[in-house]
Amino acid sequence: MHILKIENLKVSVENKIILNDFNLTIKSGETHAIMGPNGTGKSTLSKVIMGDTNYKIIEGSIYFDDKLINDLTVDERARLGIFLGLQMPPSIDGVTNADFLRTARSVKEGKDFKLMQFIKEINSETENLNMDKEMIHRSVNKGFSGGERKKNEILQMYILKPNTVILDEIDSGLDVDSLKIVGEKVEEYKNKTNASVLLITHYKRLLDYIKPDYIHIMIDGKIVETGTFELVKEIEKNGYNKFLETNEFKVEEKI
Amino acid sequence: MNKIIVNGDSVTLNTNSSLDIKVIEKQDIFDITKIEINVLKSTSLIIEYNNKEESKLDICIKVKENINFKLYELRCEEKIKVQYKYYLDTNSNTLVNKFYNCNKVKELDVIYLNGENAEINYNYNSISKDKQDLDIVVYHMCKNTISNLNNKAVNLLNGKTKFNVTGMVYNGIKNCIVNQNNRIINLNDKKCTINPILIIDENDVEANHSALIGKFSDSELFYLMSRGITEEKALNLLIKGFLNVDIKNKKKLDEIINMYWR
Repeated sequence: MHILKIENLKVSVENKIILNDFNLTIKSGETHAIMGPNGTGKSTLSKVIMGDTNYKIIEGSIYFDDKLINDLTVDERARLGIFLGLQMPPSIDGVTNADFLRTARSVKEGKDFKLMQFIKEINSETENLNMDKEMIHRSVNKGFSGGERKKNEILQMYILKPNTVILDEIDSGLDVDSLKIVGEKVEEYKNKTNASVLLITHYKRLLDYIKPDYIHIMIDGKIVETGTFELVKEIEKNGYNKFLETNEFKVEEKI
Repeated sequence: MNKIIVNGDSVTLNTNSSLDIKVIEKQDIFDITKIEINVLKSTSLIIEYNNKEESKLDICIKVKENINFKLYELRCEEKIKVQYKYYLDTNSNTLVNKFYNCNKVKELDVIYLNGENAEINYNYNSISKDKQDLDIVVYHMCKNTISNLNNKAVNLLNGKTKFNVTGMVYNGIKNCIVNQNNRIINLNDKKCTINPILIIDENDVEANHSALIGKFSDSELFYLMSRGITEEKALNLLIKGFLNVDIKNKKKLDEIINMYWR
């Protein structure tokens, strides 16, 4: 059982507060979805959990299995089992997907790394994700469409086997068929590994495939409402106005 | 594949009838060896250098009409002075891939795109440990000609790199594509210079130039590290990817890069 716990988190970037008094606990096997209007801090949250140094933690704590991880580097957090699937993963010219994944997997497994097993898994998972096998030998994300990039993120998740998965708008840029594949693969991964999943999304369509246990509405850097799938239906119908009107904290607050 | 081996004063040719090669060995007061290469049929050529001491070369490459030519070079020498002249005829296409692991380099490349639809794709990759000056001038002498120049260097130890890269299009030479991309990764605090110059006296031209001196981007590093890769290993991956070029000797290329970034 793994627990990611965020307590009273206050985060700024370039002297502007983005997250304020943010609290969330995610346990193994749970799926949480965070929804909210644009610019409310959802992507910031995912990067802060992962340890992006562009964001400054002013107050609060992030615990992983009761261990404070505020000061851990990005790679140290990843090696604990935290995985972030990015909304727009960068392309890296010259570094092949194969080299990238082999390095990441060998760092994770150390002496236990087995090349043949790795190749077998790569072949099998690219097929499951309906990806062109040649993409493995191409530069990371270079010339990939939006959908291919997202599938590549899911491929990495399967190869690196994290216990805590954060997916930032993994549904954007996906066509209907690709959305189904990605959604079903994430749900399958969760059921197979009992990983916890934190989804950041704008749309209900992803949640048709990945069934969330909790829906959180995030406004101006904090969670203002938590509920079940019924909450998604309400947002689909009425938007976020109800929550915007009642929220007092302003995201433009300066330090 | 055709091969020329330059070993000090001697030049060994291992080539077929697709190339007509003339070697003039150190006859002038400047102590320069001249190599003239006429490309008669579509082919590839590797030039291998085994010079222990300073080498001075003047290499002239003429690519005839409708010919595809590929040149691969790996240079691992102390000190080199070299001048290349390329003359490309109508509908010819030339690829130049170079990888240098030298201390001092002084190089001038002059490229003449003399025939309509002539195209050059030029890739210069270098590990710079001392003073390296690369000057490239491309003359678009005919319409519909294309030049794509990609120059990359990683600076380490006492490495100081200077790229002067010039694309020229005269008035009336229409529909040319002139691209140059110059990047230096600076792993020391020495001075680096890139002068990306476009001299264009014609409106109907597509031209791009870029110059970047610095480190790798934060987003690339964050991405690699977010998969558990340590900062040191992530940097190694990025450098290897940055310097990667096909020189038809992957083993040797990997050996060199691994000497610095294992």
